[in-house]
Amino acid sequence: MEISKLKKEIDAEIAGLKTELDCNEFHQKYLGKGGAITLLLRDVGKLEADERARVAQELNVLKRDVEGSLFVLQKEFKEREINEKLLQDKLVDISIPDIGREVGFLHPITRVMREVTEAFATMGFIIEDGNEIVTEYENFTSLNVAPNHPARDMQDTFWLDNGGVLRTHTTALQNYLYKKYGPECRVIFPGRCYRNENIDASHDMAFFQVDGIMVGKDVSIANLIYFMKRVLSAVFKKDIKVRLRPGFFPFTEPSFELDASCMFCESGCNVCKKSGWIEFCGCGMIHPNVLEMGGINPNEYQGFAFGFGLTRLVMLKFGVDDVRVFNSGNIEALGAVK
Amino acid sequence: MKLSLNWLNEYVDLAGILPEKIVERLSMTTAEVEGFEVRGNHIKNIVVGEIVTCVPHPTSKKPLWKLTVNNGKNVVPVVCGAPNCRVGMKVAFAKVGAVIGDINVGVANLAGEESHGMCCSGRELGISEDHDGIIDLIACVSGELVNGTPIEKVIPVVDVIFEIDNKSLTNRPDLWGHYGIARELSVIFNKKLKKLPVADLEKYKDLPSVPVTIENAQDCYSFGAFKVENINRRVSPIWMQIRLFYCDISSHGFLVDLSNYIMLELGQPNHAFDASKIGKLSAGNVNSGEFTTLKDQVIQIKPHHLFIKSDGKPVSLAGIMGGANSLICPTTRDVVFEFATFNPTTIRKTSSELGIRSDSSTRYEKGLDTNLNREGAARVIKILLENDKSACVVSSFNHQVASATKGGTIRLSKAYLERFCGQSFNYADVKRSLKGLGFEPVITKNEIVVTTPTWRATKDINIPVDIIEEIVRTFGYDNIVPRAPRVELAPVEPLARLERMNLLKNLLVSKYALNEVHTYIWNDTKALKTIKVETPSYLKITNSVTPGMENIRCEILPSLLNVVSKNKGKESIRIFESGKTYKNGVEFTYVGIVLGSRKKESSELYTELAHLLNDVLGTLGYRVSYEIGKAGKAYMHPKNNADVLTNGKMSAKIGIIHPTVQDAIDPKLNMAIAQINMEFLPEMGAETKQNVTSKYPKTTLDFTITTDKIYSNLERVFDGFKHELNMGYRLKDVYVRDNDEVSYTVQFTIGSLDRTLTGEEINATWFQIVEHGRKNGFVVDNT
Repeated sequence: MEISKLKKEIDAEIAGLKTELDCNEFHQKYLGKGGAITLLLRDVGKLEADERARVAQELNVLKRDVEGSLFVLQKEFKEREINEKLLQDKLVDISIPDIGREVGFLHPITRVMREVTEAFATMGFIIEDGNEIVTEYENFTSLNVAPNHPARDMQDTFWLDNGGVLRTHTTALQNYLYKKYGPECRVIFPGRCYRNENIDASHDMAFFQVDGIMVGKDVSIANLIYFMKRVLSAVFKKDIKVRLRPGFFPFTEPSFELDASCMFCESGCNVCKKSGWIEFCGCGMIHPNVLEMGGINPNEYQGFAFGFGLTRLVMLKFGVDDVRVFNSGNIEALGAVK
Repeated sequence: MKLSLNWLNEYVDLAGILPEKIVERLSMTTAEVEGFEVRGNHIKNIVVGEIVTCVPHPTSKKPLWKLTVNNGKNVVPVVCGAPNCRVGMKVAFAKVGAVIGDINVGVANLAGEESHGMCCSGRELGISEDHDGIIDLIACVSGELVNGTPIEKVIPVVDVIFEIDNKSLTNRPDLWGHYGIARELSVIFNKKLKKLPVADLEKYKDLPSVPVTIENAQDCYSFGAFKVENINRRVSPIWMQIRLFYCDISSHGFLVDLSNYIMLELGQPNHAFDASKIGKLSAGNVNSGEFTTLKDQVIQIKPHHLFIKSDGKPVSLAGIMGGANSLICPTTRDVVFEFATFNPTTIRKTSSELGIRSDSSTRYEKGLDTNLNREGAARVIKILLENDKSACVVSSFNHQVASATKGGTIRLSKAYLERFCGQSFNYADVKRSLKGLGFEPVITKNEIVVTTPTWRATKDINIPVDIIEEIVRTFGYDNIVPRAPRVELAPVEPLARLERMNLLKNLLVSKYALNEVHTYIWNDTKALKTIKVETPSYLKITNSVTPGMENIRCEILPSLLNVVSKNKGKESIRIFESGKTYKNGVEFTYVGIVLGSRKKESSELYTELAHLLNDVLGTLGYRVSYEIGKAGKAYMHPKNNADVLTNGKMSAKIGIIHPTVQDAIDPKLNMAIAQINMEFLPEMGAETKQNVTSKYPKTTLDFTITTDKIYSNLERVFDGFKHELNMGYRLKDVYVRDNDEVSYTVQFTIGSLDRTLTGEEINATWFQIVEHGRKNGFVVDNT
C-alpha cells in the first residue's frame, strides 16, 4: 500500500537526519505545505467513504509519529549544538582589573566625619556646620571664657584684622545654635579649627573637631554617658565602654574628660598605652551662663555638650602617625590612608 | 606636680592602700595622675657607719683617703675620695654585699689598698644631686645614730612619688600643695584629715611689727610679714631635703628649703628676705629702672609690673621671683618672711610678658586664698623653731588685707540635683563628702545649703552646679547609670547645603575619579609667587607665626594650584577641595576642581570639566550655561574661560590654565580649572515639576544650523522659543567644518497633552522654529 511504503521511506530518512537543518528540510518535505503527508491528507476527501476513515486514521497516526520523532531529534540536535558552542567559547578572565578606569577618593577626614555625624543623625541629631571666621564673642565670650582668661591672650589663637578670630574650636558655633534651635535641641557640628602654632608630627595649624549639644527639660549626665557609649559603639562597630573623669572647661559645669575603652585592643596596645582606655573627648553639662547667653533659661533647661578631635580620631582609626599628611595635598599619601 | 606619699601620709593615713589605687581614685575623682614611681628601693645593705681613722693615701696621685670605718660589727679598711672625710663623721656606709642600683659592692683594690665597702654620697643614695662629698649624717639627722643601723631607718629614703598633670589643676588653686591633695584623699578613702601642726601666732601679737603697706590694692590683695632672728641652722633636715628633691626641688640651704617646703605643702608661695638687706616693705609699682632677679635676669621695669619694695626700691618681682639684692646667703641669720596674695591676672600677664615662670607664679596665677597667708606663716614658725633651737621670732605677723577671700552660701535643691544628674543619692554620704571637702553642709528635706571654704572660693565654686560637681565626683562618675533621654519626637530636617555638598563630593569622587584634598584658609603667598598666581585678600591674620601666611583667601583655585605644583611629575592629576573663603565681610564655601594631564590637550580637559559641571550641577537640579570669556581671572587662559551660570545666576568660573602659570607649575601638564561658590547657587524652591508626559504621539523635528558663533548663543536663542507644542530640544550632533564653521543638529520634540497633532500643526511649528532662528541671526535648515 502507498502509506506503508511512505512509512518505510520516512523511517529510513529519519534515521539519516543529522542536523537541525536536515530536520527542517525533512519537515518541509513531508509535513510542510506541499509535503507528502499533507498532500495525502488533503486528498483523503476524494476517497470512497468506506476507505476514507481508515486512511485518515492511518495518515494521522503516521503524522503524529513523525512529528514526535522529529521533535525528539530537534531537541537533541539543539542541545548538541549548544554543547558544541559552549566547548568553543573562550574563558573570560574577569579577575584582570580595569586598568583604564581611574578612581578618586574622599579625604580621610571627610570619610570619618560622615561616619560620626551619621551615627548621631540616627539618634535625631541635626548636622550643622558653621563659619571658620568668627567673632571674639562667639569663640570666647559666649562660652563663658572670662575677659581675663588665659585662652584669650593665648598666642595660639589666630587674630584677624577685622577683630575676629579663626575659630579655635567648633564650640564657637554653640551660641548661634541655641539662638537658631531654641531650648530643646540635639545638634552635631563638625568643622575645621585653627591654632597658631608650629607644625610637627602631632600639631598642625588647621585640624578638625566635632562638637555636639543636647538641651532639654531634663537632659542629664546619665544621658550624656548613654549617648557617648551608643555613638562610639556605632562608629567603631564594637561595644565601647566610656568613663568620665573630672575635667575643666569654662563652658561646661561640671566638666569631664571622657575616656573610651580602647577600640583597637582587648587587653592593652600601643594606642592606649596598655591602659585599655583612650582619652577621647571633653564634655560636660552646659554652663548656665552659656545657656543664658544663648537665650535659654538655665533654670528651666539644661543640657550636655561634648567635643573631640576628629583629626585625632582619624589618626587613631587609620594608624596615621603624622598629622601633616592631612593638609599636605600629597595625593599619594592621602590615598594611602585607608 | 609631684607628690610624696610619705608627706601625704602625715595628714591622711593611706597605709594599706596600693599606689595604683591612689592613682586611679584620684584621677577619677579629682585630677589626672600621670603615674607613680617608687624611690629609694635601689639600695640594700647600707648602714650607719663611723669614720674611726682617716689618713691620706700614701701612694695615690689622686687625692684619696685611707679610712677605717666602724660598720656596727667591725672596723674595716676603706679607701675613699671624698674631700669631706673626717674622723668621727657618721656616714651612710655600703658594706661588702651592699647594692646601689646596678652596683654590687665587694672588696675592691684601690691604688694598691683593699677597700671593704664605700661611703655614699647623696647622689648614690638617690636623695640629692650632691656628689661633691659623702653625706654628713650628723649635720642633717636629728636623732641618735647607732653604727650598723640600716640607713632607711635613719633617713626616709623610701617613698612613692605621684605625678599629677598640672593642666588638670588649672581651676583648683587649693590642690597645689600636699595638704590640699590630702584633703581630697581623705574624702575619697573616707579617712580622717589630720590638722596641720602650726604655731600659735597669737603668742607673738604683742611684739613689734614689721612695717608693710599695700600701695596697689588692685594687684595685691593681702600682704603680711614677720621677722625671725638668730637662725643658725644651715643644712636642712634630711627628711626635708629628700621630700623636696623627690618633688624636683634641690636643696639650697635651710631657709630657702623651708620656704619651698611650705609652698609644696600648702600651695602658698612665700619669700624669705635677708633682714639686714631690707627696710620698710610695700607692695606696689615702680615707674622705671632695672631689676635683677635672683637668677640674674635683668628686667626693664614697666609701670604695670608689681613689686615688693624695700624703702621704695624693688626687692622682689611680686609673686614671680625674688631679687638678687635681698637674697638669703650663707651668713644670713635674721630673716623677714613675706606671705602675700596677688591678683592672678596680673601675675600671669607679667610672667608671660617677661617670660619668667616659677613655681610661685604658677600657683599665684590660679588665684589663691588670702587666708592661706596666716596659715603659711604659722606653719613656717612651727617648723623653723622645731629645727633650730636658737631661732627667735622677734615680731608679730603684720598682715594687711586689701580684699579678703570670703566663702559664700550656696543653696541647691535636691530635685534639681537629681534631674541634672539623672541619678538619686544617699544624702548621708553627700553630707560626709561635702563636710570632708570643707563645705559646711546643712541638708534639709528638699535642699542642700553649703558655705564655701575660702580655699575654694577664689575661683571654682560660685553657683549651684559647682556644688553638683562636688557631689557627683565624690559619688563617683562611674556609679551613674547611663540612661536614654525621654524627649519629644520631632522630625529632623537635614540642611540643604550640607546635603548638596555630600552629593557633589560623591559624584566628583565616584563618577569623575577626583581626589579630595585639604589646604589652609590662607594663601601661601610665597608659593603663589613662585607659580605666578595673583589673588587678592580682604582679611589678614595679625599674629601668624609663619610669615607669608597672613592673607585669608577669597577664592580656592590658587590653593589648589599650589597642591598641583607640590605633586610634581604626575601623568595626570585630578583634585578638588571644598573650603572656606572670605570676601566683603562674608565667608563663602567654595569647591575648586583641577583636571591636569600630560596626555590630554588643554581643550580636551576644558571640555571634560565643562561637561562635568553640566552633570554635577545638573544633578543638583540646576540648568547650566556659560558666559564665555567672562571669568576675569588672570591665571586663566584669556580666551578659554567662562562664567558658569546656574539657572541664569553666576556661581562658578571655569577656564584653561594661563600658559604663564602652567609654565611655572609644569610646562607639560595641561590643566583645566574651575571653582564653584556654593553660596551663589540659587536656593531651590520646594515646587516639583509637572508631569509633562503625553499619552498622545510626539513628533521630533531636526534642524541643522551652520554658524561660526559659539553654541551658547544658539542655545540662548532656542531657549527663547516659547510655543505651546514645544516639549524641549536637545543637541543631537555637532560637525566641525573645514572653514571653522560648525554645524549643530538640534532636535525639537513637539506634541500636545490632549491630542494627536495634525500635519498642518507640525508644519506650522516647523516654520515657526525656522523663523525664530532666522529672526535671531541663525539660518536654520531642516534636514
